[in-house]
Amino acid sequence: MSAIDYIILAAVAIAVVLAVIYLIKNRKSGQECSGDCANCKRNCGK
Amino acid sequence: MTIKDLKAGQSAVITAVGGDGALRQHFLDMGVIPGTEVTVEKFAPMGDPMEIRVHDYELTLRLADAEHISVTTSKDVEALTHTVKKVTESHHPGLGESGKYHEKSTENPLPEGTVLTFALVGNQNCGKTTLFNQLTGSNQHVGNFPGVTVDRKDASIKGHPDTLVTDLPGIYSMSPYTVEEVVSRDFVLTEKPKAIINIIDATNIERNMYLTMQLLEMNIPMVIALNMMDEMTGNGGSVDINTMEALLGVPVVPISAAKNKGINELIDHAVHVAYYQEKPLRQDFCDESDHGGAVHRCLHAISHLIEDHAAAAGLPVRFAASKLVEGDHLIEEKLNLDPNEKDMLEHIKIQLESEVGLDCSSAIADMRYDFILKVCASAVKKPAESKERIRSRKIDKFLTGKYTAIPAFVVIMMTVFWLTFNVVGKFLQDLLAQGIDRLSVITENALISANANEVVRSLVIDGIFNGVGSVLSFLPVIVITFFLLTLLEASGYIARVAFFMDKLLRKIGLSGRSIVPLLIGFGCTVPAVMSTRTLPSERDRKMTVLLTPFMSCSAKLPIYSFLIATFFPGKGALVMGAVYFLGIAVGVLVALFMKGTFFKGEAVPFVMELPNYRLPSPKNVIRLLGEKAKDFIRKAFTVILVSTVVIWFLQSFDLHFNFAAKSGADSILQHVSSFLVPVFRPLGLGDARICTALISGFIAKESVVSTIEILFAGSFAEFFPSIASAVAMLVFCLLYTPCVAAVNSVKRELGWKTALGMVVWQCSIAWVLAYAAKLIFTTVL
Repeated sequence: MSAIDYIILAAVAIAVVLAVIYLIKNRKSGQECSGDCANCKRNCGK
Repeated sequence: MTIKDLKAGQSAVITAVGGDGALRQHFLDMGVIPGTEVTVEKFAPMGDPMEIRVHDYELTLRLADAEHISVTTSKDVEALTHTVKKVTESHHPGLGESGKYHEKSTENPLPEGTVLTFALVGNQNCGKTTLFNQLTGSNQHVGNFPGVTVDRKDASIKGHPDTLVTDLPGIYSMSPYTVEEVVSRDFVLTEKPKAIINIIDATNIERNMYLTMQLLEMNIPMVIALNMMDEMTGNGGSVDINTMEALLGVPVVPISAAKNKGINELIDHAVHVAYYQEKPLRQDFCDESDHGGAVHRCLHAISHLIEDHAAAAGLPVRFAASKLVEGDHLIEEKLNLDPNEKDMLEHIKIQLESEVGLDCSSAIADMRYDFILKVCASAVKKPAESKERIRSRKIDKFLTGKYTAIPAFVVIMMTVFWLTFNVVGKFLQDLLAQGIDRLSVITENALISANANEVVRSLVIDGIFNGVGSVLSFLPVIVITFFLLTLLEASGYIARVAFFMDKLLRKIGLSGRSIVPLLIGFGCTVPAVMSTRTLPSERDRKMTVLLTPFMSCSAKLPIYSFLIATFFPGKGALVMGAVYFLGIAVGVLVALFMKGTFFKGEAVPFVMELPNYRLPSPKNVIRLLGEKAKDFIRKAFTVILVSTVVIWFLQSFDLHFNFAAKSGADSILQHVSSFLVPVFRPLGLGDARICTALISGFIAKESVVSTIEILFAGSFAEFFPSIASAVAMLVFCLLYTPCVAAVNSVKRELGWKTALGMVVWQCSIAWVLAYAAKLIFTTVL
């Protein structure tokens, strides 16, 4: 494995981790709106 | 005689509104009350539903519902019409303006730094979201279809960071009968905004003011935005703003949200009434002389009766009194009345009904419309029939005509699909795919020349570029589909489609409004699922979402083409047609099954306002497309990126984590797939390679073909001993779970459990029907 391999692997790993964090964060903050306001107590701001 | 018995073009006066519950209250709220003149405009091409004109706007309703509305065509009955008064100079009350309404010594401003919260409330399709965008600079979706805003949105007013405007769903009244009404009412009652901005469509003041009456009763500072004034004055109408302000006791500001006129004045008034907490000067609309003062006495008696309970429950007393007369159980529960008080309440209501000769709900609706008519008679010069209305009537003669509606619809939808999937969309998709391919080649060459490891190269090229790239190449198709459908929706055509398709869809338990998502489903399930948000009923929305995967999406075309070319050469059109037909037929059967089991009951009543045709604003269309593109790209670089890396890993490594290279032989994915071999054996598809291809189709349908090509290396045709297994594969691919992007969008709309349930449900149906197809073809051939 050369330096370029490590750099690419690190970049992909960071991208994947960021994507996962984004998905989890959105789920927790309720950004993913169900569209059903009566049943959904979240104020998603969408 | 009922409205149903009238002929197109015939007018009559409503004598009674029968039925019960939500639908009846909705009719009353929409101005369908005894004494009102109604004209039948037309019937849908299939004879049901019908379109009527009431209070100067068009309303659609089903014949079964129209049966409850009794009318008389007797010449002796005089319809309630306006006495048009010439608008003259009038005194300016100066409400919501510094130094005019309140004096410095008596003013009671909110403490500095208080966030001024506003609720933006109005009827459906009166320009609320357009105003919200103008006030806040937001990019919310604007349509010309009732019910575009299905959930609330918040943002601060431009230049006023200490403000927060909430755009609530469009409602016709504060009755607790629809989801939107409950949301809006609860917001105003529990979150207590500092002020309400009530937007009224000036071209249809009568019906819009019905909601205003109820908002005024809530005793919260309020300002009225009289929208579409340009359209009204352009057609010869006018409003004496000063008189209207004086009669309603709140500031009234004429605006044109679409042309950004009057917005600054509206903001000034709104901020002023909120900051100084200037409450409406009037909440009492009942007339002492009306019906011998019966409604007046009833409301005031109840107000006194419940005063202490209303204060304890934090409810405005006048609002609570009106709602009690209307039989609102939610308010009654909140008030916690004693049995004695409940008895008194019932006695007062019975007395009202006996004196007025109407039931309580009708009497209240009648009182409100009486007041509105008085306000309109004093302050409104009604416009002549608008240019927009005349134009709409002409267009409708063709687009909703008895013999032309369905053919015109077929031609329009075919044009949309042709432009999307054959011409513009396809061209742009190919262009983008070529660009991605070129970038992929350049990247691969760069990695080779940089001596990058084989595994890293495979991750970047086979994983990320192939996975994310193939999904990204769908961006143009998504954007073009939305562009064309937005044009149709914003112009007002989709509302008409819902009108004339209602009868057909009702047979499978849906309402006419579900036709659009189902049609989009033929293009792509993702936007189809997203577009169900405009459906007003939760039942209809869930049912429509679950039916969209049966409309064969365009991404499955490569699979069909591949299988047809391999097994049915020369019979392409026939097999392709049969596949699409099978998808629709199964969808209909599933809908009938759902209607009888999980989604019992009828589709929501089809009481809908038909808007005039309008030219969509280019700014709004571009804004929406930008939003959709952003949403799609965000998805490609989050959920798709993660899942492609995971699939790449499973496909590229064996159980000992040795790199298994491109062939995928002995890979983890193939081991996982081998567990599925027994499941697919009865279908004649018991091979780990086929199972792998089907699993990869979960990521993107197109990859089924590419995976087969890689794993079978040209020996695919030889693998199948009979045509029956090929048919089974075709049927399975048609009906099994939609791709991960579609499942994700279902998850967004209905939650994980339903999304997961849908995957299992689709796979089960696909398996059963594929097995049935194999048995039939084995027997026949």
